[in-house]
Formats: sequence, C-alpha cells, structure tokens
Amino acid sequence: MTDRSGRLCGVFDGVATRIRTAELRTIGFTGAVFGEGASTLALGTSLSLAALDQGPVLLVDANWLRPSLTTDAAVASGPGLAEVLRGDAQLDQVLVPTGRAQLSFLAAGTVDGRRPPLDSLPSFLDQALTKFGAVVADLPPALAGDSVVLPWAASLQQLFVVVRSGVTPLALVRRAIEEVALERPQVVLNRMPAGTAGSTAPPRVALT
Amino acid sequence: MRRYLDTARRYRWVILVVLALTWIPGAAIAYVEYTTSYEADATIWTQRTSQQFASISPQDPGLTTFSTPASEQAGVLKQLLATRSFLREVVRRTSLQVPDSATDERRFFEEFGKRFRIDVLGTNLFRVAYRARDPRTGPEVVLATLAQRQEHLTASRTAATEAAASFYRSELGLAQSQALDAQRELDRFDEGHKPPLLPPDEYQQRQLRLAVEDTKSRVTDVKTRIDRSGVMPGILQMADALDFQVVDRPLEDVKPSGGTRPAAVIVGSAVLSGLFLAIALIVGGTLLAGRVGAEADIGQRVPATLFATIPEVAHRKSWQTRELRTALAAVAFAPVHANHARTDR
Repeated sequence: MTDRSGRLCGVFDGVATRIRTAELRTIGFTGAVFGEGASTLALGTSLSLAALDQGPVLLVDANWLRPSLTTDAAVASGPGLAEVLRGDAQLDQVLVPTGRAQLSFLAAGTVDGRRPPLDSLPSFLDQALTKFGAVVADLPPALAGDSVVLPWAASLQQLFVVVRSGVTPLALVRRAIEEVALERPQVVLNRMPAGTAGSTAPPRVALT
Repeated sequence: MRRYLDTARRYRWVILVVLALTWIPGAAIAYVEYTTSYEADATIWTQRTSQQFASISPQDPGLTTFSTPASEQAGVLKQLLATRSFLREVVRRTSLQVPDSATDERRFFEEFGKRFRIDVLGTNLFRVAYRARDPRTGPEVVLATLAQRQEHLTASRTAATEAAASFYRSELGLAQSQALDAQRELDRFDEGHKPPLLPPDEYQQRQLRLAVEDTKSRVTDVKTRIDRSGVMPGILQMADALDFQVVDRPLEDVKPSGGTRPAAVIVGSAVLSGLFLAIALIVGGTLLAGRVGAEADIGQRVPATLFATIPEVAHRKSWQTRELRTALAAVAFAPVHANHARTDR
C-alpha cells in the first residue's frame, strides 16, 4: 500500500500475504480480552488484503459487544450483520463502501439485546464468498463473548487469537484457546518490540 | 523495563486507588495534626556543675564524656518523663483525665510522653516543650512538669535527709548512753575514793573525767549534725532555685504551632507507603503473572502455533497506537463519512 499511511498499513502486508499463501478465504480475529488489538488487526489486514488486488474483501464487524469498527465507520445506527443473519436485510443492501474499491464493510447492525441467530453463519459466509475473495471478521474477545466466538470459530477457515506481546497473561491466552476449542489454534503476536520482532524465528506461515 | 511499564499501565487504576487510599488519608491526617497542634515551651537556665563528666555507656561506666549542665538536666528530665509514675503525677496537676481502663491508660501515657520534646540549646540553656491539641493544655502541662520535677527533687532530698537524721538519732542515743555510763562510773569512783587521793587513784579519776568529757562532746557533735541536716533541704532547695531558673515561661499560642514536623512525618510516611505498595504491586504483578513476551513462548508456553507477528509501531509522537487505528480507519472509512455528509445535505 502506498498512500499517506502506507507505512502503517504495510505493517499488515506480511499477515495478508501469508493468508493469501495459505489460501484462507474466511478468517476471524479475536483476543483473550479487550485491548489486544483484534479490531485494528482485522482492519489493517483487510486493507492489505484489498491492496493485494486478488479479489474483493469483506470486512465484517461481528463484535456486538463493542462494535468499534462500526463506530469508526460512523454507521452505528444502520443495518448490518445482525439484520442479515436475521433475514431482515440482504447482504448487498447493507454493505458499506470504503475508501478502497476492493474493500467493503459490513457493520455490526442492531442487536437490541436479541442475539442474531448464528446458526445461519455458514450460509452467510457461503453467500459472501460468492461475491468476495476473502471475508475478514472482527470478533469479540473469546473470554467475554464466547457464545459469539464459538459459532464463528466453527464456520471460519481460520480464527486467529491476537495476543499482545509482553502484556497478555499466559493464563488468559490458554483459557481463551480452550474457550474457542480450536483444533489447531493460531496466534498473531501483536505489538512486538522492534528489537525482538522476528528475532527468534523467521516468520512462519501456518498451513491449515 | 517494558514489562513493568506494561504492568503499571494495566494496573493503573488499581495503582491510582492504592495511591489515593494511602496519600489522601495521609494528607488528611497530616492536615488535622498540623491544625490541631499547639506547642508550648519553657526555656530553662541551669548552672549546676556537680557532674562535669557523664557516663556514655551503661555497660562501661569508665567511658565518659563532658556533660554540660543543660544536657545533664535535660537528660534527667527525659528520664523522668519516661516513667509512668512521673507522668501520672504531672497529669494529676493538670485538667487532663487519665482513662480508667488499664489498656487505655497505658496508651494514654505512651501518647502523652511522646508529645514532650526536650532540646538542649546551649551549655546552660535547654527547652521543654509539649504539643497539645488545644492552646491551653500545653502551658498547663509544661508548668506541671516543672513543678513535679521540683517536687520530685524535694521529696528525694527530704528522704535522704530523713535517712541521715534517723542515722544521727541512733548515733545520739548511743552517744548519750555512753555519756551516762561514763558519768555513772565517775560518780561510783568518787563515792569510793575520798580525798586526799593516792597518785594512782588521781590518775584513774582524771581518766574517768576525760571519758565523760569525750562522750559529752560526742553528744554535742551529733546534736549539731542533726540540726544541720534539718536545715540542709531548705539550703539545697534555695540553691536549686538559683541553679534551675525558668527564663521563659510557656505561653498560650492562639495559632497552631509545632505540628509541622509530625505532619511532615505523616505525609512522608504516607507517600512512601503508597509508593512502596504501588511498586510492590507492579513488581509482583509482573513477576507473578506470566506474559506472552516472545515468539518462542507460542508453542512452548501456549498450546498454539504462531501465525505472524505484528511489530510495535515506532514510538514517535505522531504514530501512537491509537493513531495507528485512527489512520487505518481514515484510509478505510473517510470516504464513507464524506458520503454520509453529502447524503445529510
């Protein structure tokens, strides 16, 4: 990416490239607790994936507990994922265009205390994949919203647990991984200090 | 260091609460202590020089140092103030009340004793101060202390005089009985030997008269000593009044005074306690709570595979973490905002 914030978006190019290399089309980001950087990672990775120009990308704000991406997009009052899952709206009708031609955004929608039916997630993802090359979901923290994260973990090709380097307690990471019951959990280590990032091992690409 | 800073950031609210719970009450107590402290003091001139050298080690009396009259008197007063019996007598002379319960009484006297301060100002000058909760009690307690010291001194001298007088009285009795015996022996001799006396009898008579004179003079001497011992306390008391003069009597201070040092100690203790607890929390939190720090931790300490690492964005003021998110959101959603603005118009 070569815009004014290209240097920052470039931080996520490596993740995006590895996702493409691993041929992952539906991915999600969650953390153990709030503040791990899952939403930022979902946003940055979506932008980088879109910049790779290998098909349109859909960024989904599935974090109904704290829909920060929806707030960033200033569409908090509009329909979104919740309405689509309930069948109250079609995906095409609620997509929000972004500054990137290859990137679309699906807001969290209105929950109003009624959790949308998550059993329709697989059909939603199938429908999305007919139009988009990749679907990136921003999910609530595993320990705070496991009832939401579990169905997503079962439906996505890969769920990444975002861990903040030097901050997230080990016990919480272990519990989060247990909560989402991932067979082969993948971790993205966020905010590694400059001196230590990549110093212990070369970047790896997990094949799932 | 970064781990500790992260822990501090993570526990910032707990740390703030800990600091607030130690600092705010500390400051409040210090303020109350400062505003309710009224110190009264008396300055005393003393010129007693009976003891030029004082022992500096209770274990080795041979170790001595030069002791000025002021330090000697100040030392004596400090020792008296360390005893509950002396403090009880001081309290009895004031309007203060001693609590009834034994525990409360002990605590009362400990607190009471701590409020005294004795400073040596020079070779002959020292100051006795008492920090009270109200302006009136301070002068009352200082005067009571000095009066009680005087009474204590008088009582101890009277007791010493009484002991000496008692000794002299027993000596007098003995001397009088010896005088009577000597007189009786002389009278018996005179009855048995009528003049003219032979030279050996004359010699014996002279010896007996000498013994009578000697015992009588002994009686007179002991009587003189008894008379002197009766006058001695008065003389010593007069001398003490000259040697121990209250130069400045304690005054009632209407404004709080003397509370700066205790208040500073309280504030300092509270600040240090708060900092100690905060540091202990940070260090304990960092050491006890294991964190995922390096790539090697994934797999070894966490049952997962490392997919990727995202480096920390350079710590420049213009690119803080929140700003990374803001910048990304601007790239992605700024046109959305613009469209919304157009639609609203």
